Amino acid sequence: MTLPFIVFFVCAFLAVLGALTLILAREPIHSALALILVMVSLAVLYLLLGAEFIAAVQVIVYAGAIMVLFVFVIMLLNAGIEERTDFSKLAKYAGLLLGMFLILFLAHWMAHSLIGQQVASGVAGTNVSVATRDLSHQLFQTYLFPFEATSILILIAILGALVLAKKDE
Amino acid sequence: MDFVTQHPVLVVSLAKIVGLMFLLMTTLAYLSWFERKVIAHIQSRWGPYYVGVHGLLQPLADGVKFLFKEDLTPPGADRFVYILAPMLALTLAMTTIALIPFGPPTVQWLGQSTLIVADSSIGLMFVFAITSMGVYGVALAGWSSNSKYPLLGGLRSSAQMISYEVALTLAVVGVVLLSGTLNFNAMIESQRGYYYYFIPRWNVVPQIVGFLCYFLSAIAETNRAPFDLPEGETELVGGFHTEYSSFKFAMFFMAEYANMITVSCLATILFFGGWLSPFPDSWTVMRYLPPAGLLALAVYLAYDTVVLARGIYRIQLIVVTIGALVIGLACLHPVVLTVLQGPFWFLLKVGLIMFFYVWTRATLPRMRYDQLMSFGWKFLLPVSLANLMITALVKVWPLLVNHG
Amino acid sequence: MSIVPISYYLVLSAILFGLGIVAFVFKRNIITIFMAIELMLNAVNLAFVAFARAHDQLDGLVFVFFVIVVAAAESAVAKP
Repeated sequence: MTLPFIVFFVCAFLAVLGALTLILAREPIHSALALILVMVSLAVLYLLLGAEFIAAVQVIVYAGAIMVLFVFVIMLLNAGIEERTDFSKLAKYAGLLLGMFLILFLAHWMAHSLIGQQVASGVAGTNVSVATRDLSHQLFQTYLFPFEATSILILIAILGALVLAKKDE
Repeated sequence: MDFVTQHPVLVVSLAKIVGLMFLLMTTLAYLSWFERKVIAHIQSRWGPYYVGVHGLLQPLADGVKFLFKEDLTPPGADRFVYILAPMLALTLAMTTIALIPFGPPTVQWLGQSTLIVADSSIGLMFVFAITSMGVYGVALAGWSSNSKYPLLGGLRSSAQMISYEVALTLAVVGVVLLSGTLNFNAMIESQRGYYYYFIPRWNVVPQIVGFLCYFLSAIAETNRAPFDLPEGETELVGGFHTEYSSFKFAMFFMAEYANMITVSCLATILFFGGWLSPFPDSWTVMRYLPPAGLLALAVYLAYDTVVLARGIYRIQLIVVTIGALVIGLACLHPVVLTVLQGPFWFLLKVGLIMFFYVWTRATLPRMRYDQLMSFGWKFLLPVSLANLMITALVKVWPLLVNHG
Repeated sequence: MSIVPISYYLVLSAILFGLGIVAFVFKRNIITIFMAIELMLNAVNLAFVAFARAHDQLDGLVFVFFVIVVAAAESAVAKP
């Protein structure tokens, strides 16, 4: 029960708890808070895997900007309480059962597949974290074209948001 | 003792965290005293004067008052989010102090550097990550109060915070380009040395535009005057903390001051050379500046005690004088003197920047919300981008000239 | 290799992805459905980072960077 294991299980527990709260919450604002919890615990897991820069980017962009956008939309549109329709109990139970079956199937497949076992059995590698300098070398040399393409994508998104905002007038 | 030697990282980290928490809480309380005194003196009056000698026990009295106030929850408010918001704001605001270096990493105890809690190689990005989460405290507080004024105030305040966050981050990238690293201690080390033998090589000299953009964005980011429309009392009743009372309100109050401290510490590290002394290391007489300052303070307080004060103030002043004398003499011990150099200069610079903050609050009138937003997006963002491009050009110029 | 076996991270990623699918199918509020999409993207990001650590290469991290950026762009435009 060394410290990395404890941190992993705590973060995994928080992530799954957040995902369950996302499904079970009655108000959308609680679902948004649960998703923020999932993202922050995933950022800690990235830190555990040695990807510091990605963890910081996840918190800054995902949990700090995208989710703020979601929270604003929920507040401004006053999205109502999630309805609980009572169509049929059979559909509800069958759905839950199939959902659980899907999740367990995916998890089992991941754990016992060939790739999972290859990866789990002693892959040689150092235990240091990834240096930002190396990541930026990759980003600006090998992956330069996708980088520029995503910056154009962001520009298109900004223009799209502006056009949509103007049309409401 | 075996546990201590086997787990040095854990023990030293816990000790640092406990000490830092204690110091931080005291500083937050006395920052309110500092602000009230400075604003009062700028406005030709005294400020808190009666509660303790020179008003020094005023924060204690305020704390006790906050604890005894009635703790209401507005009807119809979402209880979970209502209680979560101030806790989130305060926790996030206090977490960034773990990344701030108070002194050189050569000061060590049990093999761990003592004056920084978490010396990570991307410290700057973590600080930005934590401050960008600070928007939630404000937005959720406004939403959960189930009332119009807090909702509007909270939305305005959080929109302001996320707008100025972009300009803040861009203003700082110039410094990152100059020092080539995101680690705080390495950034400070790259600011050693002098231009022309007497101007210190601090980043404020080449990056003066960056510093001004950073400072203005920081004032807007922490919702302080002149950008504090969302929480001004005459505009929106009270903004996002209208419906909060007693201890939760105190938590928002403390979170705002903690944000201010964080941003000032960051400005010191990035632009003013952190814990570096402005005097060259060869002037060893300057190492005695901290104890000299404390002993001078003790002399002044002794004069105050003997000549001016009466009654209970005299007793309080005697206590403070003896305290200053003891600490001043303790600083003459060589080990304490070496440890004290870095934090002394760091805290002095942070204090100066916070004095500027309070001075700005006392002097300038409030800006209207649309003026504020257009200033952030239409002026600060392009200027920060231009600063970044010019810095990058200057950095890359030798390579271009050689190949061109 | 990290002390925690990589397959643990993959199982967690699979569980989160499955929960994201369940949320996507069962929820009725459009905002919550968008949030389920973000949850699925996050689960995939975790798998990418885990594989990047397993093979000791940086390409997985670059991919994660792009996924985050594209998710930001699509959430900025896909607001009602």
